[in-house]
Amino acid sequence: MIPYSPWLVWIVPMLGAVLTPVFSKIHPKFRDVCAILFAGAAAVIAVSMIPDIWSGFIILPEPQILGGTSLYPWDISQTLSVTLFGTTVNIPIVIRWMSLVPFDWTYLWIPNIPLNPPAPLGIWMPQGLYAGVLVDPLSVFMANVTACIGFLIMVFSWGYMHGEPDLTRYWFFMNFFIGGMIFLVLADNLIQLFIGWEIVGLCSWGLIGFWHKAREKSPVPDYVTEGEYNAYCGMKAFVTTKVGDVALLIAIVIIFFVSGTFNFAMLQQNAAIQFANPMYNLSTNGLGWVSDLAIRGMLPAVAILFFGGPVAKSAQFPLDVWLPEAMAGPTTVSALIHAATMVKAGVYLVARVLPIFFGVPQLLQTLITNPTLYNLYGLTLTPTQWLLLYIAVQSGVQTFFITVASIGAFTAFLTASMGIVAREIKKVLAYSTMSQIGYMMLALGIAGISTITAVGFLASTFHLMAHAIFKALLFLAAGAVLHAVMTKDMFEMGGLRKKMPITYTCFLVGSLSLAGFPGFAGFFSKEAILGTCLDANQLIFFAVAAIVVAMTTFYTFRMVGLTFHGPESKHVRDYEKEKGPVHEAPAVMYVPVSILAGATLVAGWFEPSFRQFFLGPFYTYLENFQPYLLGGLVFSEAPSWLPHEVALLWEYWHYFELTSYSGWISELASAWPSILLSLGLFVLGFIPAWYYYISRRGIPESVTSSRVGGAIWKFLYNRWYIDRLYHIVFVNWFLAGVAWLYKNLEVKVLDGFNYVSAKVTIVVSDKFRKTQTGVAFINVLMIIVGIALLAAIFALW
Amino acid sequence: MLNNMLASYELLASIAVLLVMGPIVYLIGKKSGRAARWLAFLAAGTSMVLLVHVGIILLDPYAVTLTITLNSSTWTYSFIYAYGSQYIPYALQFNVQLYPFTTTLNTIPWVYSSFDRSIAYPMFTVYEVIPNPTFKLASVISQFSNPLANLSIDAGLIADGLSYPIAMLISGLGALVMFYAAFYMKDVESPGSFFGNMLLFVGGMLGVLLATNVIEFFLFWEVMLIPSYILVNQFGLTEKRGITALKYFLWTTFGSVFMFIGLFMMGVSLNSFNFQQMYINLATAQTTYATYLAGYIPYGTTFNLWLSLFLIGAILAIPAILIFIGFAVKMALFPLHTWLPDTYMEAPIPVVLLLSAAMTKTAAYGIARFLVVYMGPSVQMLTVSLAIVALITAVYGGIMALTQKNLKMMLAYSSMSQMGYILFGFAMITVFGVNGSLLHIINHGICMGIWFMVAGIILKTTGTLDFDKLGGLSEKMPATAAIATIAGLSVAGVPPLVGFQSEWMIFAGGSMATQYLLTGLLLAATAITLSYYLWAIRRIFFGPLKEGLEKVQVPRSLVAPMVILMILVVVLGIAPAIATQYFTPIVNQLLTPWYGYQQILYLLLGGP
Repeated sequence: MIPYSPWLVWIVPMLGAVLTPVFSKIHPKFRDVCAILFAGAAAVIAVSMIPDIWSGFIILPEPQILGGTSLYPWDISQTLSVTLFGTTVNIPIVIRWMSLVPFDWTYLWIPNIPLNPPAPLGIWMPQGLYAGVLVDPLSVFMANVTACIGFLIMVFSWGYMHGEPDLTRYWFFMNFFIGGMIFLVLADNLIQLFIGWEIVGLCSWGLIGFWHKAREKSPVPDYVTEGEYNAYCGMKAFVTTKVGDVALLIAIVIIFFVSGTFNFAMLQQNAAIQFANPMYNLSTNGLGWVSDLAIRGMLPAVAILFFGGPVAKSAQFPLDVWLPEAMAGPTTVSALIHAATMVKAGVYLVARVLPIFFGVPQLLQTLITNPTLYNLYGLTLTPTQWLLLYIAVQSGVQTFFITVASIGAFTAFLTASMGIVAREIKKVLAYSTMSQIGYMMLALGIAGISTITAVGFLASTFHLMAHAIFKALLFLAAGAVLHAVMTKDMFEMGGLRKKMPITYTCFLVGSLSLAGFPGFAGFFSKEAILGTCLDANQLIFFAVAAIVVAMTTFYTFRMVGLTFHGPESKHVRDYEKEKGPVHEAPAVMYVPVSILAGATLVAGWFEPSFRQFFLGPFYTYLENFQPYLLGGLVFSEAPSWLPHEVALLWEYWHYFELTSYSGWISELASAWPSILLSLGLFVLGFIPAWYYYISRRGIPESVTSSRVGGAIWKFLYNRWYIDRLYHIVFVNWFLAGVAWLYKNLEVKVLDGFNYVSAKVTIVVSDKFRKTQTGVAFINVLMIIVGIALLAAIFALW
Repeated sequence: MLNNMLASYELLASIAVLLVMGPIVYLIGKKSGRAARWLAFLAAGTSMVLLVHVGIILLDPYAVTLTITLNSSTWTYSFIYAYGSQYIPYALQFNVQLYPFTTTLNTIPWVYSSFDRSIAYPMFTVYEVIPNPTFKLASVISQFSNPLANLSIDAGLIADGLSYPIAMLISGLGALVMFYAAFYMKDVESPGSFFGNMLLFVGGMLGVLLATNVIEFFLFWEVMLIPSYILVNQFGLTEKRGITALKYFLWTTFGSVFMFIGLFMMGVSLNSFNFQQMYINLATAQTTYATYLAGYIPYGTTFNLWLSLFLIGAILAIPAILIFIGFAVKMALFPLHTWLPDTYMEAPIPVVLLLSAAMTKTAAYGIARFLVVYMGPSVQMLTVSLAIVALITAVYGGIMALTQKNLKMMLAYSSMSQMGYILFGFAMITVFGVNGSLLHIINHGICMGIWFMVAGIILKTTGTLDFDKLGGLSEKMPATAAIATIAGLSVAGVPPLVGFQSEWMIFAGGSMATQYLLTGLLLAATAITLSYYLWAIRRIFFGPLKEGLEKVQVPRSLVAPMVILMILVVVLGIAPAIATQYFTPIVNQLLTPWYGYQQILYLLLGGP
């Protein structure tokens, strides 16, 4: 790997973003080229990290010198003798020159605050907050997806945004976004992850509202110009995701309280019991943070709050209302942020914490059945307490994963139903994105509640990669079409198949992949997810996923048919009369699109290599940070009653099955019922789409204006009225209530108190003034009365 | 060593230059407005530069501590307070201590360990203010601390990790506001009065921060009040300025009465008016009392320490509440905030800048010093009540800001709402909460500074601050729009700006105090903050340019101070250690021993 690449891969794009205004003062073209070059550099640096993950170890560019003693055999231990004022002190030092993957590379950021540092066993580090990067298969994978697809989209946008004003702002936000997203995925602690999380939300806001100066008429009656509407869409996205971020931050600080750290490595090690460095042990009974939360009864609540962040960011129900409006931004923005990367951040976070949550019940089970081990770790619970703890932990973890799977499945269905009736091409793709991410969440949830964790996890991440590629492809091709005919509405397109052949071919490739046609990447990834559902015996989830396959096929080919097939619409004919024939996209636009199409065709066949990347030569992925401690089998998928050595053999056989081509082929062959079913569903969804939209034999209006069909159409077209409900309650009612409160409480009561008290003072002093008569006789009389009173008081007391 | 002596005098000079130049500028202003403006800026700038140097010396790892006593019974001199695990007050014998040297390896722990250092300039001591008090409001505490002590007033100036960052904020803002006002209030009548009072205002605030004892604190508190009253009264924008200024003055005085009674009670209870001596007396009393209780209660040392702290805290609760009411008025907490909207609307922009970004911080500093960092563990029983007040303030200020149609009103309520956040962090009395609040004070000062400067620019160039009349201004003032966006996002707590760093620490502090529900509600309020700032930015800057705004042209001189503040926001967001390195050692040292106290309380009372 390029030296310091885990740091450079996010610093370089951010640097490019900050320098963009400087470059724009030199020359606009120079600025454009530099922006793309910075993104390209990030892609190169990201790709250079892959060989290290593949091999499973990293040689550090400069050796780290740490205090303490290391357990790893490849570390060099020394003793440093310091003589100060006559006394000699021997300090043990460790020189670390290489590390196995996963590697947590940290530097001290905010010293002097009482945070447990991410110190490996036996090592001493000063207290404080550490900034770091986690070099690990999942993060390097996500960084590569972001950087490479980001680079292709930057190249595309050079052509797409050609001639637009304010490009400095555009390049700034795009590069800052790429840097922020890579920062998010490489983060080794929750605070850094949250920083990256908000940065991408911020860039999303800036880019959705990019065309805030547009003067055309607004598509909704609430705003006058389209520019105002675009700015509103950006704000809606930011505020909606902020709701999820709030939930995520609450969960993060509660987790911090019980664990004393934000670092993923430490969180994973200390989840069930306090494995970590005894120098920083907060717990008094040896329990880890998940166990601690469970016995306090807070585990389901904290886990679901934690999931709130991914729900908002990945646009799942109930926080999915912002993504369709986010299509108001440029298409390149939709491709990068709302298809390929930012919306995947939620999936990334759930995947990141999956081993943490999932491993706890397993580890507790291992400990309960091995009394020698829990004496070793200084645990002091009685068997009854262990049982209660196990029940609490298991129920909490199961609740979390079932919630993930259910929300994923429901969103997949909900948004696919909305995509069936959408008018704009970008909105169909937006609904499709939400639906496919629902699939990913479903797979992760099932991975968590079953014993086939590795399979579910790998299915979800493979679908993440495949989806990123083909969705970016579809968005960019749609962008080329938009650029050519200047309309977003599919009913105003039509017949573009012959006029834009390259775009059509690429779009068709993307559509086939999305619908899951055999041979394309989407087919293998969808089969992996359906296979996960079946292998885990989750038939209800399987049924929902299967129905969504049919719906996906239908809306995909409806989109293809409306845009490219059939007769040309009136808009296209008028446009051609004015501006000349509709032409193919320029090379700077169709080359990235073709590259993505090629990737879609090829990527599916590399699924075993993909699995090898994650599982690595030491099969330590899911065990992540606890290797070599219990023989490396803490999170083993082997049945727990097997003896240790046999379990090891089971692990390696299982690894071979998962990562070899022969194992893959036999896996596909044995899944023939599922494959046959999904092919059948493909045909089921394809036939109506072909009938109504591709061959144009049927008239869709006959269905949508009939009584039953019309009612369903209206319900789906209004997005199940969820968006309307939110707007009425959280915007209209809220603002009205607050305005009422201002008028009646603040102005009348609180401020009124000032004037009331002033009036009271004046009235009282007016009345009191009457006692000051100024008549000598009264004054003397009062003096005598006063003396008499005082005498009486003294006499009595 | 000479460096350190110099720092001590610089501390005095930074206040003196402001208080002396105030009247001088007033007199010069009668002749030439221009000279008055620029002299005022020069004075404020000098004060800032002096304080910057003091801050650099405060961090010097090679500092030599030197304490020299002149053999005079009424005058004492000391320069730097030594490294140590407790505060050492004035008047020590001659001794020299050298700091440990650093080595080439950065992993040796005690180089980075906490230290507390301060730079002091003692002025004079008035002995035997209340000789052998015959009445003691809290004999329990007194008899366990130092029953023979006389209550004397050691007047001086001290800049330690707690007061220095806020003092730096105020003097820095003072300098930038003077520069801004030099252009903004170019044509004001009676410039001498305006700029002279501004200097006295900043000088008074610095005095509040650098005070060493309770009486001096109160003295400068009143010194700070009077110039601000004159400024609002004489230079207010509408006809009702007399009434509004009187409202402001009466409310603050009403608070000051409560504050003074409370401070006096606390000083008498703890047998000293000096901040540091109060802390030592409190710690001594607590330990002695715990030993006394051990004779009666058999539950062990930790429990006895906790019980003695609880009982002492119960006695100190009443002065604490009185002090809190006083500061609550100044910080504009609900429901004592009614002076704030009218006063902010009334005062001209440079005055509002100082009122909002600087003056409210002195109240926050007072709470930090008296109620939290020093007395914190003792008054821990007030945590939930203070937190509820803070939460109500934050939410109420936020929703009020959401309904406003005028930018200045919205910023006034926003300022009130952020004070709620700051109080919340302090109320939690945990290391993270207090550190977060102190950083949030800095964040709020800088960002409110930026936003009110933006409001001034908009008012000056377009003549209106109403959202209905503004729109699309990012075309005409792109730099201002970008700076305003960054400031708004920082207040809302969006990374990588300093507001996020302070807010996560406040929430972590709330979590450490096991107040999950209140922390969660406060977090939910950040969504409201983000909404009203984004909405305001959208209504002012985005969209197409409204009619009537075509001729807007922004003078560069007004934008320059904002650029400096914006750079600070971004830099502190990426490297908050620059600011936190001052106060984290003190807070860590003073509150961490009581960390275990919260765990014990939690275990005793049980449950989340």
